[in-house]
Amino acid sequence: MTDQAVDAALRRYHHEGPAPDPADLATIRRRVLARTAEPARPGRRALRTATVAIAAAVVAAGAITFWPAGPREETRPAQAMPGTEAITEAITDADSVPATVKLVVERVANAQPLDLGHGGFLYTAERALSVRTVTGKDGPASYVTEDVTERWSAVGEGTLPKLVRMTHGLNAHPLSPADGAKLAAYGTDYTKVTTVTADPATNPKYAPAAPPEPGLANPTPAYLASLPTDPGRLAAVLRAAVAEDGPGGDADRLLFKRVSALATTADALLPPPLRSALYQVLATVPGVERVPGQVDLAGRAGVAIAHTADGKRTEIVLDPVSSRMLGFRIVAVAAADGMPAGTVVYSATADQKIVEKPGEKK
Amino acid sequence: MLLAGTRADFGTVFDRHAGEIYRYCARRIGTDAVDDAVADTFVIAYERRARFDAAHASALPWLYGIATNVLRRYRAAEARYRKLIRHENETVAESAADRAVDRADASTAIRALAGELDKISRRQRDVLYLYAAGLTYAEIAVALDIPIGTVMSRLNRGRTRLRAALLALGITSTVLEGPA
Repeated sequence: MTDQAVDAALRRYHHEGPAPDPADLATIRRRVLARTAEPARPGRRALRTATVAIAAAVVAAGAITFWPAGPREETRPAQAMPGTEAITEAITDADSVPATVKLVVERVANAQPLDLGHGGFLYTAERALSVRTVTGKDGPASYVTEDVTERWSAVGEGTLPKLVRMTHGLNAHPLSPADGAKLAAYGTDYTKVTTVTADPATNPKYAPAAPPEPGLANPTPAYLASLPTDPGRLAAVLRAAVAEDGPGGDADRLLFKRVSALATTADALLPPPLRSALYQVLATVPGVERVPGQVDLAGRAGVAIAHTADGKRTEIVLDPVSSRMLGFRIVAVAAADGMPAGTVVYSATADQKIVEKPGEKK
Repeated sequence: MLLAGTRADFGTVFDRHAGEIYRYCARRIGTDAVDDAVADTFVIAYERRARFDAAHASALPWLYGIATNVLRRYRAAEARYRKLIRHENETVAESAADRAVDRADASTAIRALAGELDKISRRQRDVLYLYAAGLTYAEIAVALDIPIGTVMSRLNRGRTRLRAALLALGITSTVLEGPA
């Protein structure tokens, strides 16, 4: 008997062992994240980072390991705060939007504001999965594709980017085998990966016509600090912005979108009282619902607050541990374009951190 | 390297590697305590993330090393589980009289391996389990923080013993080299 035969026996021994159920891993993940949760401390740069999880549906082959990195970050105390896991579970188990938001807000209240006084650049890395549909003689055919967008904006000047890098078409695959057959018949090349860099320093066409003003579309730390932290007054500011966009559309849905847009673009910049107020505004939008239990957003467990309109349910996904935004996703509530009801047509996660210069990631 | 180890990255690391770490731990100690062992592994990894050598391409061997240390706390569970495997596979082998012979032989092989793994030293066992999980010699060296030559000599000694045990049961290499 050869070494290879013994090796084969060993491998077989391993492969016939118990394999994890996704639910087992999700439970362990929750426990680990709860145990490693740490409240932000004064003076600590508690920014979330630019790495985004790979969607469970799209396993990126050969992805670079981003973590762990150098010794720059201080280590946390060995034991998690008592009760942290219980709060996370309570948030996950809450059965209404007001109950969820109340618990999340209590958690936000313990957070410390970030030190944004030293300038620098806000680096946002967003990973978005979307379903695209092309139509040919045999009807619609859909594929899933992934885009990564990296943006750098000067913290003091708002969130409009100074530099953007986009990569399109990553990990593209048909939504179903039937879609794959149609796409092949149509000759659609959906697997091409393209990268675009929008850098005003090298190409003037990307330079803004005028310096952008601080505002909801371009929040600066100073502008965010000027917003009311009373939920009723904040809702009035946001509703006024919706009205300024002109008539048309469902005002409640537009308010929901405004809240999610601000929470997403300025996530790392939000002072805790404003974050609390934003989430409380969310709870007052007519028609919002809590998605029961936890949802998986690109492999990260979160709790979702949803609003349904035009056959699509938009979900804002919060991290019950950190109370930060994980991202959002859009789910088709009815079958359409050959896609079954419940298809996640879009999901995005974004992470933000402060760096020194545009183009830097750490 | 994109970032210093923060919690968002940590979620990515968990998602990428937890399945493999689970299988490794479950193969050694069974499923009763595996959740605890895997959770402990990742909590310790998070606490020690500053000590991870960023020169390594992947965090996986390093995580296997932490898991191997964590599993030392489950020594009793591990021994119990190997006994269970021997027993379970006996049952399978007996009830499988009508099934394909190679299947029964493979069960016998699994039983034999569990029995033999019980008899060897823990240090040799660590190397064999990591090798079975698919790690290369170099990765095992990283995981256990031992020289690669030591990995090879422990593996060779382990192979010799396992080969003898399998041959004693009349198990042929054809069976073992077939698809799992």
